[in-house]
Amino acid sequence: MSEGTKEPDGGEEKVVLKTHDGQEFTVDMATANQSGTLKNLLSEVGSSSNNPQVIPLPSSITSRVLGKVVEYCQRHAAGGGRRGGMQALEQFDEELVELDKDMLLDVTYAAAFLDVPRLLDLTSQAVADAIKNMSVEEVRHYFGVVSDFTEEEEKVIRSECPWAFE
Amino acid sequence: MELEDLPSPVLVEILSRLGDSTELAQCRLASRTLRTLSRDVRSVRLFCSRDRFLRSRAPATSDHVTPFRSLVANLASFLSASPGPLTLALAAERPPSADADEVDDADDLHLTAFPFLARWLPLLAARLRSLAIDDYWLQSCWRPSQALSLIADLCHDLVNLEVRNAWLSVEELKPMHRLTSLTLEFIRLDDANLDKVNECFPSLQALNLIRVGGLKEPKIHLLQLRVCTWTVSNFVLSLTVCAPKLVELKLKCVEPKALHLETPLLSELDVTIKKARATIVVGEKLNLRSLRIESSDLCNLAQVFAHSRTIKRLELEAYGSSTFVDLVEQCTIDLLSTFPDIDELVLGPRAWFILPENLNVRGELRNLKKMMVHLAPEELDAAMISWKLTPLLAHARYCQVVMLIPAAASMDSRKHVISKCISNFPGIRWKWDTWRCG
Repeated sequence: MSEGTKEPDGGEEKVVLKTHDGQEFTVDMATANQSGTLKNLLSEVGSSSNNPQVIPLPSSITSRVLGKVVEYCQRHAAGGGRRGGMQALEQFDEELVELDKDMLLDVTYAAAFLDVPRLLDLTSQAVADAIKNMSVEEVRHYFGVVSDFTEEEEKVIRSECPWAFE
Repeated sequence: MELEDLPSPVLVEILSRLGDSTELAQCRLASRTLRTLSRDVRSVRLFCSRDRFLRSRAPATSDHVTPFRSLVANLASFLSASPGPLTLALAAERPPSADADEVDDADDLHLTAFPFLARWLPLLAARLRSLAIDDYWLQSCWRPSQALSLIADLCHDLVNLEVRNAWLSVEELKPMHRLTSLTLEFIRLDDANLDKVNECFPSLQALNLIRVGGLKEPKIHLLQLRVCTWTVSNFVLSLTVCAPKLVELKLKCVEPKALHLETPLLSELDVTIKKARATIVVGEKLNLRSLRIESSDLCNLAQVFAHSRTIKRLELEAYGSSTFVDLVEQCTIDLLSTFPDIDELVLGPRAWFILPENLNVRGELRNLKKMMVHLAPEELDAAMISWKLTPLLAHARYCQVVMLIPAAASMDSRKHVISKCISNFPGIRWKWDTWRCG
């Protein structure tokens, strides 16, 4: 696990994540390093406590979504050694992805963009769990997907895997 | 944000986590994007439930149910268009035990049948990294299959192979150099001494042989093997494990005439032998860190490993089931002379139950740091527990005792036992948890 880096004057390096809606999240390096994207970026540009690097994020990552990602990264930067050990950390992970559909997809997108692999695992599994046992129509409705198949095409596809519609 | 706004690799990841082919099929029909990406999934499982199988057989419903094997072939054809690595699992639900003695002479659910595999496996062979087939025993039990040789011929990049509930021939089997993990469970194997297994799977690092029948004098001789689970159900003459890199071994057998372990790097050994009267030969360089022994004859078995001075964790259990203890005779284990260096002692529920009349564990273990006992459900008497613990804890100075209480015990009896133990052994650190019997 990455630890925060101390500067010569004892201050800890920080980085500011700025969302499109103007909110700023100041996090330490251990938290930022949970994200592959930020880690790579900061290894090139650096940051400090007095003059922290400000990183703007795309509009699809709102402050509410970033809040979730930062919460995850802070907790995992602290690791299983604090606040109840690995069991508590697993419970934290489980509860973190108990989100409504929109928020779940947004956090999935943010986890992919910021390259936080374990968070992406969690959200991908949560999305997969959500659509398990759904019919085609329910899957379309859940994800706001409009069928772009013609009637003929749909018939052919249904005949490819008839067991799913028995 | 809509689903289709997510990057394609993320969507493939989500589809791969659906696990079951039916759910994947629902997504294939949802939109063009999802249909295209469904081909790239890296993991899929096809499961034939008992209900589905019976519906495919019943005259009233059979016309509306696609035979399971056709479904596998259809999906293989669909997935063959993508080049990425694939984990595939096929499984037939086991029939209820009442039907287990029957034999079914049809082959509509015989998943290791050569002609069936030959129909679709070539389509996916290049993608497959992991393949698991749980066959339908009532159809597979009466005819040997050459599935292994076909898989070896076609799937050159396979890393993990699992086959359950089948009769497997090793005729014409060729080496699979990339296979590092093999599981055979509830298999009749036509390889009495495991010669072909050793020859054809030389790169295995993990091997699980669970209730594999047809063995006579089996010898595992694998130079790369690191982890092995071997449950031998029949009465084989001798068992040999010769594996210079083996680190973990879980061995369960009934009463072999001889057992040979040539495993110099073995660190964790879990061995269950009903009667330990066998000739047990252990290589001189055994450096065990953890040893679990379960037997009707714990004394003899304990003596076999007594010279391994590196053991830090010892677990003792009497042979039997959750409802009975199978004991040969009274047994005394002097820990100080047999395992003087252990710092953790675990007593299984049956071992604890027969303490101290049938199993007398003694020894002044001053350095014992941790002891774990599974209290038996029949015996939640605080005085009895204290009496059993006294000789074990008399000399322990810095010991933590983890007491596992049966989950079914009432809260009152738990509290009573806990408070008595704390007051009777004030120098001990206590930890409590529950365990489920059986």
